[in-house]
Amino acid sequence: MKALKTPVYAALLIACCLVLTGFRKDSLTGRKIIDEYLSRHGLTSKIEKIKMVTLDSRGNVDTKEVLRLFLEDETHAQYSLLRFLNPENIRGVALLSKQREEEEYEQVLYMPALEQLRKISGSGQKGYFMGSDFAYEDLLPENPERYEYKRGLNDYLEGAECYTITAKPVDDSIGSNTGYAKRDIWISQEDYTILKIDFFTTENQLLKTLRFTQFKMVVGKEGATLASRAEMTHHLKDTTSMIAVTRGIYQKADIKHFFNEESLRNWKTEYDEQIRDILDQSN
Amino acid sequence: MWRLITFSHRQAIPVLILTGLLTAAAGYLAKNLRLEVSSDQLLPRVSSLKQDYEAALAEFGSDKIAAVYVEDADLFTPGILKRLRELNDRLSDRAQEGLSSVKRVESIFTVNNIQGSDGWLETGPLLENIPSDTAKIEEKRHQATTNPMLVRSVISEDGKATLLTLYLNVDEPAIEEGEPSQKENDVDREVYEGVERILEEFQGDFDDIFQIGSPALQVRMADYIIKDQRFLLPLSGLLIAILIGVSLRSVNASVLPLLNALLSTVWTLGFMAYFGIPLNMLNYVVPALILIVGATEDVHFLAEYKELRGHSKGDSPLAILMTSRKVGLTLILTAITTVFGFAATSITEIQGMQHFGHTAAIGMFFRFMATVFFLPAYLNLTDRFFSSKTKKEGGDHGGWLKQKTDRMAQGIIDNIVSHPGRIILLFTLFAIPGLYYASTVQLNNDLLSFLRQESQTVQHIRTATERLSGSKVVYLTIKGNPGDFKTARKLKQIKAIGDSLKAIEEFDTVISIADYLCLVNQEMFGGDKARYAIPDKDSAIAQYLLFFHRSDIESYVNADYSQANMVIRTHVNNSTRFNGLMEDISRRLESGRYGPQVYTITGKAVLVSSAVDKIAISQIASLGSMAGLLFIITCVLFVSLRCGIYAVVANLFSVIVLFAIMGVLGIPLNVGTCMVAAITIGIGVDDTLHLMVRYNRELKNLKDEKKALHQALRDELLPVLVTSLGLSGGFLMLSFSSFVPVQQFGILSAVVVILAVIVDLILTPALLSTIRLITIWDLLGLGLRNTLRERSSLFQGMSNMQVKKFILLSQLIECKAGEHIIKDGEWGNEMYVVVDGDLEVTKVIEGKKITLNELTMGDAFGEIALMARCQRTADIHSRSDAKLLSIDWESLEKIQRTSPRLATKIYLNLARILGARFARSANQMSK
Repeated sequence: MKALKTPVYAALLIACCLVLTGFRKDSLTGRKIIDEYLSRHGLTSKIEKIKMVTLDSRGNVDTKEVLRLFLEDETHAQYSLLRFLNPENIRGVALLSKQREEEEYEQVLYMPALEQLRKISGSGQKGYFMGSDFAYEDLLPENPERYEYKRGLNDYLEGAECYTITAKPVDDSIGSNTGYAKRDIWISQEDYTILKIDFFTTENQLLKTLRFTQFKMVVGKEGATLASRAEMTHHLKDTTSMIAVTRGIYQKADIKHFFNEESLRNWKTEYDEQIRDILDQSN
Repeated sequence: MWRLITFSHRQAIPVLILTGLLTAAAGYLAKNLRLEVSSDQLLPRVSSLKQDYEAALAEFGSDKIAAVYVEDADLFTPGILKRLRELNDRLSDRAQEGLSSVKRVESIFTVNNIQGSDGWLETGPLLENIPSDTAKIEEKRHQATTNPMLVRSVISEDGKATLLTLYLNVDEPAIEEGEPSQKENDVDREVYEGVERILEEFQGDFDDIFQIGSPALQVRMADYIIKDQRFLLPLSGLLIAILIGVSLRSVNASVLPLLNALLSTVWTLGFMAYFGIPLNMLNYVVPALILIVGATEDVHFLAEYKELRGHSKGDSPLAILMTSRKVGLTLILTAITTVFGFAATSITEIQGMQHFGHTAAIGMFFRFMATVFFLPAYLNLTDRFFSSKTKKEGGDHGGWLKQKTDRMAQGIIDNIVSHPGRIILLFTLFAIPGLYYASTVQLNNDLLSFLRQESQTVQHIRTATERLSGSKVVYLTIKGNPGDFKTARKLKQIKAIGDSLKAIEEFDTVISIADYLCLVNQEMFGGDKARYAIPDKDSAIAQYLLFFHRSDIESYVNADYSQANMVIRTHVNNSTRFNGLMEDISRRLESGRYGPQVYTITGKAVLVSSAVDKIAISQIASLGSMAGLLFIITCVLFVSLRCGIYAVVANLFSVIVLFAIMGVLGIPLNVGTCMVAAITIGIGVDDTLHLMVRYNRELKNLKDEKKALHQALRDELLPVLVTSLGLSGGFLMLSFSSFVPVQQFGILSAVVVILAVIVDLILTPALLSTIRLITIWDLLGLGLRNTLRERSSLFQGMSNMQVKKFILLSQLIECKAGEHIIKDGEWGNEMYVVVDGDLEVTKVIEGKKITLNELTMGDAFGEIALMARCQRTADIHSRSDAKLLSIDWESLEKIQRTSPRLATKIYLNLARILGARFARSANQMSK
């Protein structure tokens, strides 16, 4: 009787493991999936005109037009520049972010009304981005060096089979600079695009949900796609913000000169012309 | 009335079955009764202010919050902050039982702290991470206690107390249609209990920790109501049972009022549930009132029944018939005045008082129905319990007590009725200073003042108010065009208005969008205090606004920037002072110093405080209607305007003294005390009516005011004293209530019932003794009146009312036998009608006395002098003792003016009499 029990228990254990691992067909880890996503869709540069729409709990709508520039250089340093274009009274407000290896995240704000630059402290990246439901950090690309990724059970999202991955900061120093204890990410198994992210607080409370839709092929990187619409819902505040990419061009290497404080302070008309020319190429 | 009572007695079984069915149905309905204790009950059902408030809620969000107050001398130390953070996290976790409706938690860990220094700008929460070293913690404490947006709203000035505010997600508007949703009540309890469960885990970790806010207040008030019901009702019931049992010496009699009260309470609760009237902080005392007030009628009824049961030698149906005939009218009249007394309190726009008025009026009506419907049926079945006692006592009701009250009645007659002038003067001397003190009564409509000041709830709120800010929130909304409140010009005005209001000591915090922008401006320049100002450029303002998520500023400016909202918090609870502050805001805004402004001042506290005017109006309306009702009843009863006026004046004396007591003791006129005057008149008038109905009946029998008053006092003094003491005792039971207005209502009502007794026994008899209530009509008696009407040619063709009118304008003259009434040759303008006795008409002709005629009952004479204003033409003297009605020309003219139809009939009859006399004279002359 005893001899019989051992193989039964072993079989049950194996079955449980299979169940818990979702009968995975492969040995993809969370990190590998993220790496695959970045390899397929990660972009080293972006120039986009976006519309940011915020809806409050009473349905009031606020629309702003923003120019977004992003660059990741060969040292993997990431630069981001957001420059408001509309409405007129905030035109020229710009936020420059830099993230270099081993260095603290830097943010510099330029306000044309004051004609002055202001640095924003490190914890500022988890603050809301200019009156929207997006935090500054939500607008940055995924950085696998700063998070650890654990794969969960596969899931279906609107008919698409997805990998689910939980991302948590790798250490407390990074954890203290992010507004989320963890993020649950849904990545399409078919094309490795991120479809949805749930953001959780340190109390494990669902804070926000980000959904990506209207994917378009990226000109400049074969096989890469990019969501032209991202919708962030803040569950606690019952507000929603949307980012819609109206125009964009990617993988342009010659934009580094925009990412310095001087260019913020003295934004030149020729910069606008340059960007217009670049964006015109996207048509 | 007597028919209903005797019917119920006869048909006892069907009546009891019907009563049982009705009660079961009402009990079934009562299961759905709602409990509603929110401050919405203190608001008018509809008002323009309420519309403003709802508009402000729609634009700037609800002010409904729960809060946890934490105080610790070492608050800014790593250990305590860590524990506080854990508390914050637990409260923010919507997965916790009861916290699903928490929208967000505002605390030192979540509120954005805009700080700038050395070219850096920090916009994150003040304490997102807890520093480990003391210097950094001290820096955070300094930042917190110097940030104008945080001080007194999140952190105390000394940094030792903090508030964790839970914004609740309740569907708005919660006060739509004046009926707060059950959902809101459920949410209150869920949140309160959810927070309390969490706080239990943190007890002892801080110097002080407790929950305040709307859910805590509502739930604790609801608990107080339930506690009161469990305590007050049995206490009142016990008191009533003892009082009645002792006064009537019958256990059965002591049970009956309790049964009556129980039935009428169940019917009332069923009625409330059916018509959607919630149980609130005022009408929850109605069951106790039903018991207390209703018992007085039962005492009157049972006392009479018991006595008549003895007189009728155990014949219960006869005793019921006699009792119903004796007390029927009084029962109806007192039921009318009591029901109207309570109903009059609903003449107000304040929902809670309306609900009270409706509930109490219907409760008293049901109580009356139980007395006339259920009680006789019950007596039929339980009569044997009564009879055994009655036989033993043999109708010796009262015994020594009766002798005492008889002596008291004699004393009143000897000392009071004999000197009415002195008594009236004495009461007037009391009333004059009373009027002065009555004018000093303050108005108040504050929910917090409803709770005992020593209660834990009030102590908690007081502590939080002292260390942080008051619980009263005012929205001052300035209106403009879209985009206005993004411009420097308008925002500078807002800043100036805000600065002006911050100078008012009673305002703990005044926060507007201008403060947010000033703070950003200051911090953008490294925390330079001189930069705490609105920037000059509109573009700078638009750019500063980018720092804020819409939800950060939605309480201060609307989406299109056409309205700016100042959120003012104050600790002022007194409604009069609060209203004064609101007027002060208006004065400042309308002074022109800040440009022309279109604005509204609103908030739940504003609505509640502004309703004090409604209390005053309601007081006048309810008092006026009760006085009017008393006046009408008394006028009809005694056919005397003066009598009606005196009854009202006498009862108003109690009201004046009531207000004087309130003025001297500083008891405000609130939703509770405002009901005392009208209810007291309603109840106090019961005794007045018992006394007056009896007086009226004795007048008819005895036809002498003094004797009738004495007899009425002898008969009514004991029941009036017993019921008044019972009422006072019952009302005093309400002083054990957890609610201050109910306590005040109980104590004042008890005092005023005693006052009403004093008035009924001293002032009312004194005033009544100055009126001649016995009319000629009464004196003549029914039989004599009818005979006279039939026999007198003067009254030919007249209705009973017309005859009465004529007689009431006449004078009754009594003559001795042989007395001369008219002398030949005298001038006179009166005519007479013989009411009783025989008269002889003689004339001396040529020295000889000739009898011309003999006059008996109904005959008229003297009409020639009346009509022609000439000398009398004959002698008339009485042959026996006689009574005559005399009427003069002026009285006839008065009838002509006021009743031309009656005058026509009189003149016609006079013409007939004159014609007949002329024909008789002519006939005699021809002979």
